[in-house]
Amino acid sequence: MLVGKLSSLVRFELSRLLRFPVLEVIVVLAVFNSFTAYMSFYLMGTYTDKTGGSFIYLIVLDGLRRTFYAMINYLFISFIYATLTSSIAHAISSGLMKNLLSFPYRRSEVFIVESSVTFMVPFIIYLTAHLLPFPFFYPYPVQIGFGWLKWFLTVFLSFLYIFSICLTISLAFKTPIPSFISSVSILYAMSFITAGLRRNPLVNFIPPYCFINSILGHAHVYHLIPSSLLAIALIAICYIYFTRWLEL
Amino acid sequence: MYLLNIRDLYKSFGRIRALNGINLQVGRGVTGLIGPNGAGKTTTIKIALGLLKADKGFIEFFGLNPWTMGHRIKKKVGVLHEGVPLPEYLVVEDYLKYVAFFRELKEPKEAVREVLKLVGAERFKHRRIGELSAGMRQRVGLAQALLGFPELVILDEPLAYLDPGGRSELLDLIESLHRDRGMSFLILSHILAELERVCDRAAIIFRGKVIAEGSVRELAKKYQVTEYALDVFNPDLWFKYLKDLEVVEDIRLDTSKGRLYVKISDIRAFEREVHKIALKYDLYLISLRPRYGLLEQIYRKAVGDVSGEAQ
Repeated sequence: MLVGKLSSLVRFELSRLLRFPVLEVIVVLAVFNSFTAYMSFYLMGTYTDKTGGSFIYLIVLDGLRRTFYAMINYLFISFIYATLTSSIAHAISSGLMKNLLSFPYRRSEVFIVESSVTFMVPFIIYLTAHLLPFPFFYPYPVQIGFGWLKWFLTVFLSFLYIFSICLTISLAFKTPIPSFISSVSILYAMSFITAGLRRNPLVNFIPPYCFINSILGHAHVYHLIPSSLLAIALIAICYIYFTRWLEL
Repeated sequence: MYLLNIRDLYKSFGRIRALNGINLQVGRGVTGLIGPNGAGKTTTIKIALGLLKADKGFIEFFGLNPWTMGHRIKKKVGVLHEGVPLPEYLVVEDYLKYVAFFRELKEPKEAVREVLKLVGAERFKHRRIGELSAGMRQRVGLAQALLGFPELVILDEPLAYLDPGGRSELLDLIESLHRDRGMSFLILSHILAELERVCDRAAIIFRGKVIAEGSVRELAKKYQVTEYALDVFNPDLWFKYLKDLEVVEDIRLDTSKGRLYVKISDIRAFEREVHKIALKYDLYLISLRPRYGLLEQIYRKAVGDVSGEAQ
């Protein structure tokens, strides 16, 4: 019975989130990822064969792959999470949350469903958009092994970190526009700050550098421990705030 | 047993004290919760629903603490919030189906169909909520509150946005649901004249306190109606003969309407005097009636007594 009740809440939340142009986002990301994958596997190979791989590969292709691909993905994901979590702030400010909490649900159930759905939708979109073009551009048979598991885990933890920041800000502001602007500003500012620290060996542990590395498959899981702990702490604070203190 | 039992409840928002030791008991039946804007009506209901936490005091809703056991209370309560916050992106029928699932109704489709018919929302059930007029949204909000026919329905300003026909239909619906299904209603409203048609009990909230509470009959007795309107021919002559009567405390002539407003101390004595004057001077009286509706009169007297101002 509880599962049925929660599943209807999940479907209700999905109907809220899927108002956003999810399909378009998947297509744009997939095209972008296809483009960068094409650059990586074909052009890189061509240049490497002809030139010995050195200069053009290092400056143009690797640079493109790193900054263009990882940064754009980071900014894109930050933007999506800021948008989706600001819709939670909108639900609070517009009275929709008050209405939802007038139905026979515990606050904890509403929080868990809201936050899980908001977190999982962009994550699944990203995985789909990222993995969809892979078979077309990756010239070798894909092996599902430890490397993939590590990549999956690092991406998951990186997403959790971005989501936790956006969620905390949206619950702090409780209004959508300040929440969105603050989330985007903080996440973008952090990316520029860490870019300036990239020669420091500790930078691998600092988000969003570890996030960018995780997308590129360069990160170790332990690089993500500080940011993951921070994410878990922020989500726990949000949970306590939502279930015990939030007044509507 | 009271459905809602509140004793000495306090709630402040920063420096603003919204509830100032409120005491309120709501039983079965149709109860009106009335008071000016900012009196604390909505705050009281939000605390009862576990949406706000009281600073101090005692509150029990269906015998449970709303802040900790709100989810159990809400199985028995349907709510229409003020301003009708609804998800604009959903189609009316789909939204109500979600609500039916939230309430764990056994036959959600049938329940939705029935409630749509009851509130007169069938004709726009396939439209998105965001496209609806304020009156239509109000009907969807009512459908949400009535879905599953809960034991108690809380309606915060249910008559707002409805046209006169819609208001009358809603009041008829409340009467019939109370009579036929035994449902109870707690109605927060400013539209007192229409509210008194359905309410058998009322509580008046003013500056965060309940200043009067009881059945409408008891309240009418306690706060005697003292202001009357007389529609007459020859209002100048009536004014001349009435103004010196001992029973008349105050009198005002509205020449444009040919109407006299009198404040009296004893209605029976006044009626006798009016009758005498009409016979003696051969004057014609069209009507003698309370100046305001019964609830409004009670409200004005109660608030006037507390604030020390003539309302």
